[in-house]
Amino acid sequence: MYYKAVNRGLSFTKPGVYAFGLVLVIGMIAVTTGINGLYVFLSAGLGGFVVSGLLSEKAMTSCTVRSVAAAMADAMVPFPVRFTIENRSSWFSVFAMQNLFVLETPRLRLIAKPPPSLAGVRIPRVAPGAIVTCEAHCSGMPRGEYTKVIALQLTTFPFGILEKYKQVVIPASLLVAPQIDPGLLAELRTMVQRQVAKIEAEKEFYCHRSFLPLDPLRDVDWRKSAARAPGDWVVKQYRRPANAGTVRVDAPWGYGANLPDEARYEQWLSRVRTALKALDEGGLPYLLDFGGGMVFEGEGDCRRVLAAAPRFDDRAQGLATVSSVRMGSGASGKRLAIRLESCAWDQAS
Amino acid sequence: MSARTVPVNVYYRVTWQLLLIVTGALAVASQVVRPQVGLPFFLLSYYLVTSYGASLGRNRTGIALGIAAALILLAANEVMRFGGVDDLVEVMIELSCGALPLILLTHERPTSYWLGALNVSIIAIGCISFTSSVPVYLGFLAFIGLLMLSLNAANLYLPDQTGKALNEDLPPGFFRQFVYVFPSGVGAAVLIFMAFPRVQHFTMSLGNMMGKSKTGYSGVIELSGDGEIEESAALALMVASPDLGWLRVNGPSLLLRGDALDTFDGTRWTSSVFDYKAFNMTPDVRVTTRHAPETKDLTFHIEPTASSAIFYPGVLVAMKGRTTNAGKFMVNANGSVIRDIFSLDRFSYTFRIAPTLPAAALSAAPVAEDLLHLSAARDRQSSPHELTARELDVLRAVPAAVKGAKWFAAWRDELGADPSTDTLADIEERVVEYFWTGFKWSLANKFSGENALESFLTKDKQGHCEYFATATVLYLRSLGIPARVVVGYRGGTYNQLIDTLEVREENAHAWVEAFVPGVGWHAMDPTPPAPSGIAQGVGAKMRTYVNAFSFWFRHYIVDYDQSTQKDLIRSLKNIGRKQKGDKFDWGAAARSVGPWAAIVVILLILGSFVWRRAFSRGEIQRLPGYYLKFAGKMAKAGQERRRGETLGSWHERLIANGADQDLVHTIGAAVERDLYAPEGLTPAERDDVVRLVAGVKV
Repeated sequence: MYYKAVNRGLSFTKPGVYAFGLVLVIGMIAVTTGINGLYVFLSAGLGGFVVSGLLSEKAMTSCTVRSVAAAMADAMVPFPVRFTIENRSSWFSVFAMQNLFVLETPRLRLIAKPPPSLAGVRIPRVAPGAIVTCEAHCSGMPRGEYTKVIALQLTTFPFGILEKYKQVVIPASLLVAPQIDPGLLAELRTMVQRQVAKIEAEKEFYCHRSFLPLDPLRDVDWRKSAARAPGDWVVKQYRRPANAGTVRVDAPWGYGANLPDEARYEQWLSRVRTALKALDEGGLPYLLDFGGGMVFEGEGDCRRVLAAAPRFDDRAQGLATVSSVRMGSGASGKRLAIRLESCAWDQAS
Repeated sequence: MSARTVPVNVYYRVTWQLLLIVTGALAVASQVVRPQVGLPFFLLSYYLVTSYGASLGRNRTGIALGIAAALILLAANEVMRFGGVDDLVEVMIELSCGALPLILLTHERPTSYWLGALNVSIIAIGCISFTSSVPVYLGFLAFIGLLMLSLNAANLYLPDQTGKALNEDLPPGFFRQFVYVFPSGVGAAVLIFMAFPRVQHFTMSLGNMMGKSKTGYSGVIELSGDGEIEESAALALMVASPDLGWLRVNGPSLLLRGDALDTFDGTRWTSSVFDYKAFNMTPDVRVTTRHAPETKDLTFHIEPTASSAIFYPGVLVAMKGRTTNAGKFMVNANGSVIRDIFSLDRFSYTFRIAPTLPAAALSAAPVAEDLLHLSAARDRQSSPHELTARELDVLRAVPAAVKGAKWFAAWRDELGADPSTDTLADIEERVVEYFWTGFKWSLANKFSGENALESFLTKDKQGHCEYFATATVLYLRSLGIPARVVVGYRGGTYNQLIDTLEVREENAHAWVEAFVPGVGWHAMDPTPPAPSGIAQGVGAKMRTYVNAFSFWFRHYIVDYDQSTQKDLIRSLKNIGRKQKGDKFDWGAAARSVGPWAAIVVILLILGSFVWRRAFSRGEIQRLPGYYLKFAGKMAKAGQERRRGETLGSWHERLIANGADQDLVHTIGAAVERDLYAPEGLTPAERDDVVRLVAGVKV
């Protein structure tokens, strides 16, 4: 069970290499001289390695990463990775367990060197039978939707001379949306604020309703309410003009897919993400339109589709690979065209 | 919830301190490091580990400079006394002791810790390389155990590559895990130790250890009378024999012959025979004498000694074997056997000996008649039982100062033996009776007159074995009987636990050999018995056990060599066979292995019992009451938690088998918080859970 599915291994720590070297040198001197004290050191040293191996093996069989919590983040922005770790033994405490998360199976060498990881945390102790929720600090990941991560568990317990490791593939749901472009965001904020102001100015009368105690007095229609008692006052209701509803973010997939290199492709996605961020901040509802009927609605779905957009090399597959995203229905309004060179408002046709 | 135990930093520091103490003790006990060099540095190291870190504060630089200066002085001293390659290791180890405090000044850094651990390892390995005593080996085993614990503590305490360390208490039952794997580690170590081929045997010894060896046997007699002699209980050698009954009965009175001294100048006995011949598996014919027909094989385990003498009782018939580190044996005309190398290590050899015959069995004729044969053989040597003219002169010589002294003549007359009528047996009986009735054995070694021998015989009438032996030899020589003093050991204590005769330095002895023409040499011991020094009670019993343990420890660890290895393999091969070539006998195999197998099975049963109690009960007691109630209800419903099943797995099984998911999750979350979360459950939350559990219907 455990052995079939799990890739485990053993490497020496740096002090372990020296310790092993010392034991071997002493062993050679023992063989050459026949001094039993040196044989004692040799055998006790090798026995120590056996003890070390057995204890770390027990730790590895007992302790496992159960799950990684779903998380959303922006590319290359630090975020916490929460995961649960379980000690399945009913009596054995697990100590000094290093938990690293990586995307690809690392090459582990005979002499231990921690592989580059997305996130890592050292857990001092997991009590017998305990399930512990931990948080590892991820310093930032590239854009993408990660449905699985590799949990690499390492321990140098008990003597710090051997490092036992275990790799387990854990189902995950990490959505890393494209990076925000700060310069563009500042620019778009201004544009969105202007747009919001314009929309506010274009609000049109819709109907009257009874005055409620917390309504601002400026909303009271004094022409109709002047001769009435406060309980009979009415307030005006406004609504946005019909053509100023949801903003359609126009990001044709065909445009993005035809960009010549990966940097520009990712930059384009980043600009789309930045535009959505600016609209979110401005409180404007929006639709993300990739063209060809691929329209997405709402912040969550849009972030997800941008995170899960294919890599540059796989762009030919189109967005069809993003199967979990709900297709939105169209609505007309202002259109924000996102291109590499510019971001411009335009009236939807 | 959890009982507080040892904080990790305390665990780290205490193991370091103990490691330093044991290393210091090893260094001093093994004499590899001079105490005046090693002790100050070890004490300083101990201080640094005890009052580390912040408490040293700004003094750290000053202390470092002080230690560095001391180290430079030590290095200069070592260079000055450096005498060659032999001193190299000693110098290196002493310098390691000096460098230790400097390293430990920052022992809370991983690099310093590893350097320090390497340093103490080098010191301990150096100590064990030059010493083969049981206490040092035991100390070394303690050192290895502590080193493991210290490595474990450092692994928890010192920051690793992530910069995080365990800053909490060790959980209850932390050391249980070591108990769990300890048998495997020890088993592996024992197997490696036993099975590793022993091909070479190389002995190392240090210059400063040579002068410190103590021995009661010197091979020289000097009747100086210069003060009390202190008895030493140090073990000199051990004698084993396949004939246990014979050894048990005869062992305590065996005369283990070392060297024979034939020349006396009035105060000092020396040997006039220096030409040694190689002694191989068959003895030189010159040392044989008429003996009892039966022979005994005796194995001698010699402790490190400053002498190269080889001891044996009775008549030496043949050599059966010796350990590789014993060197080659040589023999001289006096029958003294020595080895050709000198080393301070333990070695063994096996001789076939024949018990001596009493004097009456050697010759029934009066001494004067025997001596006529001696005169006839004086100018030739046709038989091994005859002496040459030169030997005869030496062996009948009485120093002129003694021979012409009135006190000697008077004493000789007092004994009054008549060679024309008395046989050697008569004379022996007369001398022994004379000394046993009128003299006293004493180690006072202080006499009233200037001439120690004269005072011993005429006034004081008390002394130790050398005086009795000297007086007897001089008396025999004055009667014309060739005689000499023999030095070695008399008897010892038979240890029934290991069926071995323990011979100590306090058993060092001198006695007499008289020559019987045509027969050979007859040993006689005129010394009255010493006051009974047989220790009784718990102390003596403890000593027996300690000696037995030391014997086995030496045999199977300290002196474990190719021959022991071969014996072990042979005994394994012979399981189930009475003799070589026999068919395998299951009954014999069961008889030989059965008791050990029974012991192992009993230990396993006891271990498993203790194991189950320690681990299963301990866990159940930790679970809160409401959860135990819930577990009881589930058990009633046939959903009992299986042995070894974790709570999480059990909960999942309960849900899969139809239990209310919310209920199980709520109770599971509560117990998890109760057991592992630092804040635990509030009383109100606990009440809610208790009510929830009470409401569960089976």
